Amino acid sequence: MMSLEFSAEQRLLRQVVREYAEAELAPRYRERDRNSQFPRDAWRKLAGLGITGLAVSEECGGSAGGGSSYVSIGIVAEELARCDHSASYFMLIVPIVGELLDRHGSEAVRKQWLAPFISGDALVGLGLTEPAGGSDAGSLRMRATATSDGYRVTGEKSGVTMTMDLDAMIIFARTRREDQDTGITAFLVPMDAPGVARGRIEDMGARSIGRGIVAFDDVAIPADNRIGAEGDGLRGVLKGFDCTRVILALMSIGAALKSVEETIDYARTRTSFGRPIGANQGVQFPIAEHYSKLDMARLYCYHTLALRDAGHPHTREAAACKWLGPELAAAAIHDCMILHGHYGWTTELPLELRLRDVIGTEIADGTPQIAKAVVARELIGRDIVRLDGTVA
Amino acid sequence: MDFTDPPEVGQLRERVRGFLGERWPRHYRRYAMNDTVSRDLQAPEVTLEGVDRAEIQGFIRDLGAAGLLGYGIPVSAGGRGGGPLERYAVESELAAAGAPYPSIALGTVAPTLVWLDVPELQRRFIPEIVNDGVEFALGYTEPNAGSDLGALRTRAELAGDRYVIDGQKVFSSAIHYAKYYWLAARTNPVAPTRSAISLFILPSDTPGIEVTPLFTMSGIRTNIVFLDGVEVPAANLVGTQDDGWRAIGHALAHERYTAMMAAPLSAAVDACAEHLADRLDEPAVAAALVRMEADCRAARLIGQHAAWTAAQGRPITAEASAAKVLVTELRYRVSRTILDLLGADAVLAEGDAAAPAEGQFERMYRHAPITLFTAGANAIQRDLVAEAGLGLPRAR
Repeated sequence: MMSLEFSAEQRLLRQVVREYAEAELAPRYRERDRNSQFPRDAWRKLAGLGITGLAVSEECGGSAGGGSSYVSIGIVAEELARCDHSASYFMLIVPIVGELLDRHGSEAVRKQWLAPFISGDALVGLGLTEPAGGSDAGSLRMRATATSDGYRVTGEKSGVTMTMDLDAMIIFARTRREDQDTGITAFLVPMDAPGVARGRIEDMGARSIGRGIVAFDDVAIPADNRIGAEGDGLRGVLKGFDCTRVILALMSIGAALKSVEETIDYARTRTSFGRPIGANQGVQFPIAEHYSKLDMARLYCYHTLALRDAGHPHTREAAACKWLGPELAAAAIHDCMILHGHYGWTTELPLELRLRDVIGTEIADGTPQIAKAVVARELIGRDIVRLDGTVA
Repeated sequence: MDFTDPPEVGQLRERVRGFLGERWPRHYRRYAMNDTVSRDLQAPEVTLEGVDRAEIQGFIRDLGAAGLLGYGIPVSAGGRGGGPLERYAVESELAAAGAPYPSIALGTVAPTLVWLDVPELQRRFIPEIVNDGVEFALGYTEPNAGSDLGALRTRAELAGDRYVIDGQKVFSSAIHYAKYYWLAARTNPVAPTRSAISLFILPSDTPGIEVTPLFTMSGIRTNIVFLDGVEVPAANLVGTQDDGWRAIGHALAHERYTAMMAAPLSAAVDACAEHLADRLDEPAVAAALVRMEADCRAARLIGQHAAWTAAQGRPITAEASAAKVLVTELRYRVSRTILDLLGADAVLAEGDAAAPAEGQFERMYRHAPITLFTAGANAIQRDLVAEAGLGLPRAR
């Protein structure tokens, strides 16, 4: 037997988040995009609902461990994205930052950063990408040199989500100890540490969340702020991508399904040539096609999250969700916009905004090309498929 | 089969290119893929860094003074003579360079005044268009009359020697900068659509016209227009009262293959190839560029074929609609493919120092959707191809 039903608790979670998002987020989605205004209130609300600690163990103040945390994170992401796709970005840091700090953070970091992260008082982000390498995470150049009481970090991170509003970020740097390269290590850096400077990037979408560049100029980091063992930085975050790649897909699918629902309403009420435009197969079929594809992709995303909750391997499935979900979503929202005619293209309706936002999810956490290469590697074998393009 | 231009059309193309070479700065050509300069910059509130508005307006006037506007309009009506092929040649060269020209005045207004054979209106308006590059705004669409234009409700009632117009229009994109408004209104409240609609020319600043901006995904402004007791002299009625529907259909067919050009797409593909110069040895990149270039060439031929069909005096409804569908859907595909090829930087917008091509590819993607529904939604164009071109049963 196989159950594809959500539990009563999950249905309640969906309902609570939907009510909140429809009442509080949807009405100001456009305004926040126009003014590049960060939805900090949404982060606090998620904390109030116990959502920020979904990937954190009970010992550390979270609620993970019930065997359904990741499906729940997916539900919240989908619901937020229906009303404000940008606000759903919080559901990317909930699992990845929560996991890293919970499992690999020192006692001091947990106390100083994980507790306020869960309570909604602190926002901690992630900085992996650098100007010279995004998809190729292993090529990073940031340097961390070991000192007597910690490290000194110099380099630059780009494409950092929520840059201007973060209180701290987890960065990844190449560590050196006594002139020996010791691999890639993760560190937590408060944004107000001396030597940290940040600037905003102008993007097509996700403007309320924003991305940016953060420069680190000989920044002193205490040893306690190292996340995990030296040289072991990438392992945790790469495992985290197996979760966030699915969440990104669900975010885009949530926004797309909402657009399809709005298009159905429009098709029923907009008349042309004396009848609703929904009476035309040219309108019916795109709606039917997009709904069918999105609903299938959505179930596949939850299946993948359920695998993660059960502790099963899901790298292949997560990468499949990552390239296919946002691609289907962007195509669906585009067609929904066109089915609304010129109105859909205006800034009076949320369709063009969702489309701009969803394109960002196509690129985030690995471009479609990288995601396909991961699927291919899992299917054909690591001995033949190499992500760096070299011949095995 | 001969796909080359007749000699006189080829010479005309050379003349336009020569003029562009001298008068149209190369750095403005990066805007070709977006109509940014040709459309937006005529509007007073739009500014672009490094673009001189006075230079743009001077360019349009010089275009007229150089005798390059008004091809396809007979000399007797105030035009430059020649036919659809000449007109297509001039406009496709201008579009390829992203250069501004009064596309509605040349594509809809002047040809309709010629087709309806209305000498007085030709005398009043065509010289301004041809010599000075004066632009018009279209006033067709209403909140409940888009694809189903026959459902329009704006009323025009004759009162003595003038008409009084009341109603609401939407998506009148150029009215905030165009000198005149080309307006469709219902002059007969009871007759069927085909014998109930009339066309008028109004100065855009006529009292009673209220314009409210409406912004779009690409940043381009369009407008909602309220008409409240707007008075227009009866002499500004275009053609015969209640007979505007035929003229609208005629003009739309011509707009569909001239306003939707493939030439700017080739400019975008070239710019993309230039941008990816160090990645051309990647098979996926090369294949995508070749595919786009091949599609653009095919689309240009289709547009040219529609112009040739018009030049033969044959009906062009199906040809023009097919060209419109192909070119506009290609435009969307090209803009999307370029984003894919550029990778993560593709979403960086104008104003970000790292944005490829100063953000013009990103904007091209946001601009592409408009062509899918402007000048008749593509769903309607497919119906027209099926009915007028293939003789299939009427869909509506």
